[in-house]
Amino acid sequence: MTQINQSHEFSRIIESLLAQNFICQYADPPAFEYLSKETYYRHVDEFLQKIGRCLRQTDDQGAYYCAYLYIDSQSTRKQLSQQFRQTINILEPMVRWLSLCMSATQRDAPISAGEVIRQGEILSALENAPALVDDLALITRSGVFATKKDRPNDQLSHVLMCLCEQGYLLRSGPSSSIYTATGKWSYLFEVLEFIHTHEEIGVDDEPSGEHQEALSL
Amino acid sequence: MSANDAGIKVLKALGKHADLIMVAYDSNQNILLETSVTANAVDELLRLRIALRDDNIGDARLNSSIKLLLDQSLKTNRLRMVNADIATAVEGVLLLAEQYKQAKRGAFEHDRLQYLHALQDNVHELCDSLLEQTRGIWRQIDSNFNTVALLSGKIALNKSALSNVERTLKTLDLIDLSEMYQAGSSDRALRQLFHLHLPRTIELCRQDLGDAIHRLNKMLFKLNRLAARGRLVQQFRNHWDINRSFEPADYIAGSEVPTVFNLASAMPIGGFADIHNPSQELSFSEMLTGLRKERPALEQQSVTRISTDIADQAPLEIKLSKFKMAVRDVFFNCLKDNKPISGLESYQGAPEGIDVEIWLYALMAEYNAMDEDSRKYFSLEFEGEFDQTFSANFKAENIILCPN
Repeated sequence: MTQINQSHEFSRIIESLLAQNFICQYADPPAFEYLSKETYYRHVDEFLQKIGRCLRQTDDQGAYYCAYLYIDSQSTRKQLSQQFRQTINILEPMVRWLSLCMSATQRDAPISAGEVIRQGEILSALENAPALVDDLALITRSGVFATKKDRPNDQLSHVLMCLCEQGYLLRSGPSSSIYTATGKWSYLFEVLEFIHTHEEIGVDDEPSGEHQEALSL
Repeated sequence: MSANDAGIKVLKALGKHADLIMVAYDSNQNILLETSVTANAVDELLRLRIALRDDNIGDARLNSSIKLLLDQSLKTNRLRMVNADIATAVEGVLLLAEQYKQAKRGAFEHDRLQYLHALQDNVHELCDSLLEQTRGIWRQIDSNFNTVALLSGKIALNKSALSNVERTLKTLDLIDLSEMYQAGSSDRALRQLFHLHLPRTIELCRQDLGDAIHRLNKMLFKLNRLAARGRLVQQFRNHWDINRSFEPADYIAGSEVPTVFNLASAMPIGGFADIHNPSQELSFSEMLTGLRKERPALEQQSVTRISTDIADQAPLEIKLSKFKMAVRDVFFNCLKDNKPISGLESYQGAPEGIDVEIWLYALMAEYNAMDEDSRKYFSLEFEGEFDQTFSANFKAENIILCPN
């Protein structure tokens, strides 16, 4: 990589990180490769530290993102609070979406980085499972996936579009119905794991009948 | 190429080169006859892994699985001792080595050769068997156990592969290389097998199996994490189904913000130069240096072509002024009447408002501006007198235009 290319890549990565993007090998392979090199990682981190931020990696080392270096001012805390609120607000619809996908694809693993999601596959599962259609309707009734569309196909397209906008999925082409999951899911799972540990989720919970029906598909 | 096509290709190659394979099989050494005629056939058999090239000996020999197939089909009564149990195979190899050495000591040449061939077969089969076990594990790893869709199935297969690897490694540990080394030290052919071929294969297997363990553990870790995430999703979903109003605590409100929630907000990218800050001087200098290095953009220059085609231009008509016409009339009249004309007398024909001196100068200028051909028809005379004091000065008072 020439000096001009390195400089260009450096500024592009900095801009991307400051725009709150998650850099993973699926969303931005050149940037991910760049940051995977220790020297470049350090350069980017040092630059971010000069402006009060730092470079972080998800626990599974699948994605890079930008964090605050110090949380010592009220303004930073306020921004973090807003950020936290946004994250918390999307958790329930995201969990329901993950559960729906697992049921639709009849798999016991949730979406993870690099996984290919086919709209057609989910749609055909929806056609044969009214419980999943109800789940999709519930997801799109309010919150981050809210839409007035009432056809399952439209609702599904809307959810997938929202996930693309938020950086969780990448569409293979402008009119493609195939999507690839990005490394941002790893961050979401880190948040879920933290809350799970601290709030003792699932200790006394019994699966509902509705849920059982969905899983048995 | 599909697996079906690949299989048919192998079977066709077996049929096509059946003679060559049978010659190798009958020779008891399983070594393919390599000549200029059979070179292509041997290459093809090597490519399809029907034969293997032994680096130590350098010959191409039949894969032990092919030989096994022929043994089973022909019900050959060979000294075949290799089986699934590696320990037994090793024991058999050592026994054959001992028999070989006894035959050699007794100078039973035929028996010695028979034992040697059998020993070579068994060592090669043992090595092939070890390598095949390793390859089988790697085939599973490379395919990511993709025959199974469920995560739990993949985890079970992964664990099974791990225990297979561990078992194979333990079996390799049972092979007493020092005993082998000792058994082969007295004979060149045995040294080839026990000092080089077998130890090298065992080492290769150990390395591959070590890598396989590392990879399998890594995969198992990932699979377990995925499984844990799957359970996490279902537990959260159940929790929300039961506690509709569930909302996590505000972790930002505490004195210590958990690392996981430290996600920087988007920062608008922009800025301005603080040109009065001396600490920025170096940065600005670098910027300016960089700016100078940039070459100025080339100007967009366009050329408008001017037509030089005179033929296309209409003849110009020069309109003469009244004054010019009056001056010219004087010259025309001079020629027409063929007599001298006084400048002062002709002044009456001058346009209104023209001074008499200008008129006279205009007549002189017209005369001087004429080309030689026109001027030869006229001559100009001056009427006046010399100055009384400065006699070189002639003061003209009138001009006379005369026809020649």
